[in-house]
Amino acid sequence: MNSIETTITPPSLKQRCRVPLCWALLIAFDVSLMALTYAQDGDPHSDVRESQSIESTIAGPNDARADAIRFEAIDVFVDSGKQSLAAWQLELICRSNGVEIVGIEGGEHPAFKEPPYYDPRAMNNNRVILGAFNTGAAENLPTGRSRVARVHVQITGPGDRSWHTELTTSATFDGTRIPAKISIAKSHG
Amino acid sequence: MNILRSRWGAAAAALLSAACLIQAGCGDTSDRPTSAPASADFYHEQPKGAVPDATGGFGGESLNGDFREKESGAAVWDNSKRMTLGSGPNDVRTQSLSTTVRSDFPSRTQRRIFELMPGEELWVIAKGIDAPVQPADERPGCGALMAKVPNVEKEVPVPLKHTSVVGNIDGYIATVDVTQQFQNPYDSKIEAVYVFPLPENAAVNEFVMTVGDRKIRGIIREREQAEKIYNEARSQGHVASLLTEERPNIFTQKVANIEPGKQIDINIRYFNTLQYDDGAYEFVFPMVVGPRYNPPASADGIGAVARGANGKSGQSTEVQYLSPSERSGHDVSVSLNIKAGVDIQNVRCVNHNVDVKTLTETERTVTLSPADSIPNKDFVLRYRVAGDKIKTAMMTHKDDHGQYFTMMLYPPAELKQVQRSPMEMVFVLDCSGSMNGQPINQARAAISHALQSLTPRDTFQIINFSSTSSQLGPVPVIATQANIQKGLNYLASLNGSGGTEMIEGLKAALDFPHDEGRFRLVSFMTDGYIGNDPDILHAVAQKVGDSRIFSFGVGQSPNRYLMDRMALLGRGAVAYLSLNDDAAQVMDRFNERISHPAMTDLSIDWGNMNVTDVYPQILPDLIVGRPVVVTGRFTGEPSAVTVGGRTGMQPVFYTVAVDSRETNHDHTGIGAVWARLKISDLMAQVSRMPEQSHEIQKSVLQTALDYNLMSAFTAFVAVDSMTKTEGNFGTTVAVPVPVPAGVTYDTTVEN
Repeated sequence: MNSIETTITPPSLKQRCRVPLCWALLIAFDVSLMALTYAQDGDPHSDVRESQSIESTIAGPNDARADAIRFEAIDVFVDSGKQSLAAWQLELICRSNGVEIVGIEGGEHPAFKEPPYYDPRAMNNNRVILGAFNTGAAENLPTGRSRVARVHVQITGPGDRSWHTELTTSATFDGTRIPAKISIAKSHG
Repeated sequence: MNILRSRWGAAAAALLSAACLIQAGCGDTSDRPTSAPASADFYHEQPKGAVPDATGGFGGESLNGDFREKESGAAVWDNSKRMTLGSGPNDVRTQSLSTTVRSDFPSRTQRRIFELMPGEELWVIAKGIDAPVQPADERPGCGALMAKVPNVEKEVPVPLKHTSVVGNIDGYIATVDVTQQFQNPYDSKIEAVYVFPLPENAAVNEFVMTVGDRKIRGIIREREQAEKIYNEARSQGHVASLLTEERPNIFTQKVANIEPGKQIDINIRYFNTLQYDDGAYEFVFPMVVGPRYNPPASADGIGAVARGANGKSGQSTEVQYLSPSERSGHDVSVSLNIKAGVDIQNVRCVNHNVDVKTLTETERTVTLSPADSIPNKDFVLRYRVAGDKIKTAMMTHKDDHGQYFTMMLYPPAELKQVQRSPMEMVFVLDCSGSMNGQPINQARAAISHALQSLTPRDTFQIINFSSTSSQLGPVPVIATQANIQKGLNYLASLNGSGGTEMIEGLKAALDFPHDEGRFRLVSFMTDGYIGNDPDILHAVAQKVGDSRIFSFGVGQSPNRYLMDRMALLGRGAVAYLSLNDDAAQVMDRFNERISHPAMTDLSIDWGNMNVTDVYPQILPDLIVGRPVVVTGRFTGEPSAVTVGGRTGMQPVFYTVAVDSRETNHDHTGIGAVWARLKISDLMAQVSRMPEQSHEIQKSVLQTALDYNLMSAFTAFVAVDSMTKTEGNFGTTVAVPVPVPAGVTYDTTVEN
């Protein structure tokens, strides 16, 4: 039997520590989400609620044909009060039929201007899990009520649509969970 | 755009040019003689919706004109005799007229007068008076007019302004951001359609549309559903975009409702692994889809037509090409950041001029020279690294899907000590029209070099194909000097013309009886410009038998998907022969590979790792100088693995150690690369097991949706519901592209 041992000369630590910026951001995103998840699960004494969910209805025309298609956008707001919002994750579900998500846009504050990422495995026609983070200084992060995302949808048929929205994570730049309120509204530009 | 070709007569074209010079209204013509024996009188009317082109002229520079008859005066015009050159609502028509033109036209304020000599012809070009006029003269299906004048390039406005490519390479995984800047240069709304290439192993998993300062992330959907959403948004006037995959290396980007003067950017991000070949990594960014040949009965191919001749090929996907006298303003920029992890020894760009900056011994930045920004050839960057240090290159990644690894398997060094058995060498040369000129010269040089390295223990055959196939002799001949000389003479007689019936070449190369005493090796030399790739790959899978296939992609922008898959199915290897490569060097590397037996029947003992879903599922042979990338999922801790196989009848085993520090380093992108390989593997199974195609399709679809990946069955769609433009979706405008450098337009593009 022939056997060959191959050897490794590992790159230096300095070399290994150099990662592309985009990867660093993605890794930081993963780490942030993990930290947030830990914070969410790991502090039994926290007075912060596990999540905050709401049910909303967004009006639609009752006189539309059954096969009429229109495009609308849903604005998603997070109100973190006086605290600076550095990371958030939420789930948006339409409980009515005839809704398909067709695009995801970022928020109004520069810290969340980039379109948030969605979890592809959780993506369905009418359901999406969104998340974003920003590692900037607190003064560069939004406080109070701020639009964090805009979800573009295609709607088929007449009538109102019922939405379930659940804010699963809201945190400051150091991963501390903070209470926040979530709300949605039909976008008017 | 239609071009008046030489068949209409050089004199007529020259006269047309003269006429257009006058008619373009670049100056007052009143000073021209009016007492000529014949004259014609036209007025020059700018159609609604037309916009001045880059030259400031109307519908082009001074050689172009776009004229419309105002009155039917004398023999000047006769609608019934018009000849249609274009198609679509704004047909442009020409009429050849004799010079028996009356000189007693009524005077008009806008009239221009020019003169004809007796016996000269006048060519008149006009827009159909019953045609809709918008958006402009520069769009597929109608086209403005242009006289073809040698050595004078005309810039045509296109809706794609710029493509930016920014790549970050970590080890052998590249993360590439491609931004396409679409812009509407016309004065009415358009839908832009761009057929473009990406690497065949690109895992495209991000898609963002930018409208003004707003960015909208596209959603991955089942292709049919995405197309429905896009079409509905388009018809309602919303800005929308759709990315579909036509082949693993050909994609179509559609952007709807781009208003005049507006710009919409599309950002695509993909991951892929780099090729590693004889100590050098190779990063490739393809820039243009080469003109494909489609068999007569085909309808699902990739058509190649002239700019404006949309629909002429009858294929489901069609690329429009600029003529040699045209150029577009579309340019490309490329910027790469390389972090090899080990010392980089040499950086060379094969087809382009680049600026290379050394940051450290292991890092480089590479920037494409702005003077070399025409997207008509593949960007191919090769860099050597300190070889021994990367031989355990296992990289891992963990996310909520699980843990992934990718590793390169290298052939054991002993292989270089073992000599090959006698060979039956079959050279298959593509002699189709697209190979005419430099490509076939380069391929002939390569085969000539390879022939002269054969020994009398070997036999050889030379097969050429275009519309049909022919060969050196009825059976392979022994590689004596005399026979080699015959082979060289035969090669010298071959030229490029006709179609690309690759199936004929395949049959000729693989169907004849196998010489049991020799190892058959088939070398395909082709640019791969065919539209029926799936048919060819299916035939290769059916016919390959014990033969090994080495594919050589010839030219500046070969069909790398076809080349790679043929080599994979043929358990051989792929190499590329750019027009800038030294053919002898490329063939010397090839000879080095085939001078030693491959390590076959590979198996891997994963040690403490619990490994599943390894791709490729059928491990190829290990060939000297050519490692194999293996990707899979695992649980447990990365550990040393043992690779087993055979060289000839001799069993071979070797251990690949793993650097835990390296495997602890997270490499984002491996999950996407793994999923893309899985999809590629599944798609390859369709040709082997067509009866299971439905199940395979479902599996491909689910994988692509789970990992947010482009595939044959998924597409990215993005709709801006907040932007609703007026009216319908306007005119569809294809982005015309240049033919790849070295390819002859006249023999490859349908006019």
